[in-house]
Amino acid sequence: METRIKFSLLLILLGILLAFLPLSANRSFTVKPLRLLSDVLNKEASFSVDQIAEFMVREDSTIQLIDLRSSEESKRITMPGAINIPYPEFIQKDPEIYLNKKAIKNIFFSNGDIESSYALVYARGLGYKNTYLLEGGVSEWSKTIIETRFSGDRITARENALFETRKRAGEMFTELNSLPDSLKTRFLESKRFSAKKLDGGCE
Amino acid sequence: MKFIKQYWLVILIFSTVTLFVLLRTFNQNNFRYDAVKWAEPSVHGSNILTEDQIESIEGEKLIIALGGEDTVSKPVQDDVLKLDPESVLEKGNLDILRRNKGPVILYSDKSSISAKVWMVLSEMGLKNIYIILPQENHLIQ
Repeated sequence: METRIKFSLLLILLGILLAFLPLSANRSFTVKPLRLLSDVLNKEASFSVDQIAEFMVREDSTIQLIDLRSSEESKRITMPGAINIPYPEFIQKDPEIYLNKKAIKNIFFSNGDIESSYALVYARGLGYKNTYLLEGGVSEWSKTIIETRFSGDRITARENALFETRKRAGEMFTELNSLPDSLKTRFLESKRFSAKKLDGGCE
Repeated sequence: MKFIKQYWLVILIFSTVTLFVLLRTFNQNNFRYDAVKWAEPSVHGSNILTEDQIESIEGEKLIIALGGEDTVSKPVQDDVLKLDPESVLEKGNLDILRRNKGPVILYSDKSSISAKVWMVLSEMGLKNIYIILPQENHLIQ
């Protein structure tokens, strides 16, 4: 067969193959569906508000809170140490920018559970195992931490410790959110800088 | 014949690769390419329905109550399918979802469960899947 015809045949066959190959730059899930569903439904994929309060009080630098709400909502009130990535932006952009540090636990939160649940499935589907969500979001935080009250005559040591943690976390939250916007931004940046210095990171 | 004899190795490799690509592309039990595209309804909120919107949708509605007694507290009617969230991806259940001619509506007392299941199903290429939020739901009574 002529070389020309062979070459043409090869090009046609390659074209058919290319028609089916996913050569778009867009991201695809790398995990199997059953495995992913099992992972995200597991209780270990989420943190309670009390656990987050504990991390906050200890100024744990191995966690990163990610606020998925709009920038307006985030500017009004947010969690100490949180970075704001509105959910639409989180989906559209490459999550590698935010989720690439394997030693850090990235914890999504929103007003409730819906957007953080979507984000968790999306991130874990893309292979980012170090992602979690805050159960109940800002609503649960307000109800459990900010509005924490002690009632009754007696308190056990454990209840006292819990109450103290909630109270301290609530104070940190209120302290941050009562700052003017410009100071709030500087406060958050300085916290991140301090955390990096403690970790021995470079700036 | 001579062509095949000369290029049998290339043809073999090419056929094998093509077969794998076709299997991957048309496998309904795997995620689709382009995760952003399949997550799009969650960005716009078009996958969340109110009760009024559900009432006005044409076609056979299939309501799925996800979870056990801790997540579906209201008694479930006969025309509502009750499923354990982890069993949604079993072949039989997936076939029911795919065969349904109308919308499939996911419900759970915990909106995180319905949101997670929705995202997984959407990324597998299932369309016409929606969520109803607990406060909106009067369909399960």
